[in-house]
Amino acid sequence: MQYALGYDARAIIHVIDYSALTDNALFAMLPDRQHRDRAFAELYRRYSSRIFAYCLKVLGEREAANDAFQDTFTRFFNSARVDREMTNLPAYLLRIARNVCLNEKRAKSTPVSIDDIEVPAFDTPYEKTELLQLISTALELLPLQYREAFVLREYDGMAYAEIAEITGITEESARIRVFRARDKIRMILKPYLVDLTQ
Amino acid sequence: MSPSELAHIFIDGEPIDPRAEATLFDALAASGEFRAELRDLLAVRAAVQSDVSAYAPPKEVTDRLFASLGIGPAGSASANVAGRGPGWMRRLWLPFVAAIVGSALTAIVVNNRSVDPVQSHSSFSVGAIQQSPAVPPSVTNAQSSSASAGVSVPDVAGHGSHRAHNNTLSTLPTGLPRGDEVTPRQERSANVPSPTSQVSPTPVQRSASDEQQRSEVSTPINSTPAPAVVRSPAQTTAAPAPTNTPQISASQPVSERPTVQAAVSTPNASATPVVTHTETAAKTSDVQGTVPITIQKNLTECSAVAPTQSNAAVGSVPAPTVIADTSATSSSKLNPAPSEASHSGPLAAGAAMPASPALPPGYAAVVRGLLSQSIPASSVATSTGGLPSNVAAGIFRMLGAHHQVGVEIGQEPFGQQFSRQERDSFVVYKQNPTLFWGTVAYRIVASPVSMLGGMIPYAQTNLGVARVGPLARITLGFLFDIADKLDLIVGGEGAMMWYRFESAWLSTRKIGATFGAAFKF
Repeated sequence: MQYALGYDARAIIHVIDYSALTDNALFAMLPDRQHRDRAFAELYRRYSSRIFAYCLKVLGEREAANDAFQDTFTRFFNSARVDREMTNLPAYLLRIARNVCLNEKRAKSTPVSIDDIEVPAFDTPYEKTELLQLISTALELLPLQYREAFVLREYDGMAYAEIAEITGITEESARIRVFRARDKIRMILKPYLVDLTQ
Repeated sequence: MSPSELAHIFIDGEPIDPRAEATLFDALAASGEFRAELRDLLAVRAAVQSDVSAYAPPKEVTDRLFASLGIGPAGSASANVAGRGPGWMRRLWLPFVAAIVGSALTAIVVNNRSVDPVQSHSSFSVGAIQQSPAVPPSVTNAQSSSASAGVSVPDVAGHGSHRAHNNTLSTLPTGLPRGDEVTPRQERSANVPSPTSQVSPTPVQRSASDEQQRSEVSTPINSTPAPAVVRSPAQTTAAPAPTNTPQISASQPVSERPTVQAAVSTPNASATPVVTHTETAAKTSDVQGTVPITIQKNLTECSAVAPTQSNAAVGSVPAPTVIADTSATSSSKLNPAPSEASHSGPLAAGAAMPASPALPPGYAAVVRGLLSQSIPASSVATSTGGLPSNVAAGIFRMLGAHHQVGVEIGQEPFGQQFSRQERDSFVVYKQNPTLFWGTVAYRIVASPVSMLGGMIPYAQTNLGVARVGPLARITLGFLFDIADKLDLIVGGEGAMMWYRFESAWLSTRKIGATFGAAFKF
């Protein structure tokens, strides 16, 4: 082996495939300067979509979502410098994102009960591609706790137990919130969903 | 459980109890509205799943995030992980700041401790006297005639007080001669039986030969002129002459005394600091920030260390404060005639100043071991060669009371780790080569710390190159004077070596301890 520095020295070559490592193994590498960059890049590749979807759907504004998303991963990166044991990294990331988004929402929004939501009248014919925008609009009409439960379930694929862990509620309460959020969105989009199914 | 709840569980894909499942299917079959509800729920889920745009963060957001964290672009190959450009600067600032702060603190401590006139004067006068076998030979008749007007020589030394018990300059903290340390002396005529208590700066006329000697002597001394030593004849009569130093009788007129060769500037010179002391007297104005002391102290110190005195052993010379007190109490004893002075105090009648060894020119050979760990630690065994590893050796030259410069060479292992992307894998190389290095060194030495038993703090900085790249070292430690011309060294050390790998600069840090000895010559 021709070593990098051109002189005879004993060397041990470690071949590291970061994509094959578990979340916990990658997280354990973050405090190590030698592996920090690659480990973080791999974790970012795995969970950036989930986190960005959560921030975007909960906050409803792309600019605010961009800031919350960056803030989330920055806090995650900094927290990884402290030696801590990680059991559920996606939930940990979403918990950070939730705190960031909640802080943002508390500064701007007022609480609204899900029963008080009035279904808007959409008179304009829509196309299928507009359904996504309608869903986003419907999400914005939901109270925060129902919105985040719906996003965690539908966009992030979290189990009800994980949703309960992240939001600090019971699993049954998490299930009820998701059910009620679905029903409300369905009610909001009912006229358009009828056209869609037809 | 209601049919609506069962519908939600069904679309979640969770298992349903067979009886609950039957209830769900029966409700679907019986109610068109319930079937529409289930279709709506499935449509919303499908729409969410197709919302691809919500899943991808914008590229600019990703780039901004990675830039803020100091990480390369996501997904790009990394040539190394051990020290890209910005990374090594982030890691380098702390050692440099620590070195600057340490040097500044040491300088402050040194300066503060060097202004104590009593201690420093006492100690250096002890040392200086010890090495001064006789009256300066360059005293001329003109000087003798004007000897009644004393010449004060400020003491610029700052850390010799702990050496009060030592009788040679060679035992000074760094092992380097303190020929340039100044002890105020009062020049007197050879016929003056006792020193005067009045000290005032007076220009002294010198002969041409004296001037030449002074120029030779003063050349290596930049800011701290040597003290001048002038003793009454009664006190110098019995002092044994040092090697190559002419014998001077106390009764011999000053003008007839032989000239002592300059010793400071040449390694082989064996002249005593007497010449330098004399030179200092002529260069009083060059010394700044110093305070002259009276001759009484000098005489007391001289007598305290005279080895020919039966009642005063060299090792029994008290600490500077004691000497000062002694001088204060015995000053009255110094005024009497020589015959009286010779029988008073520690200095016996007719006792001459002890013979002192030749003044070393100010060098020290240092050998020290290096006990340090690479960061990151390398698990690879290091290669072994013919030369010993983890050792350093050097030569230092004293530039003043507290400053030394020199060169050091050494050999030690440096753990290295670098990596690169190779196809789908990330390959990390580790090696631990033993590298030879050479540096120039600068050392600043503080005053002895009495609370630490006389240990002398020092700080040292090395800059040079190792076999593969530049090298910097910083050492903070203590010196221990354990014997004549021998000091022990112990301290903590940090080092950083830079090397290149695939056009990128990497670095290896080391931190640990150092220990060794300095041999003064």
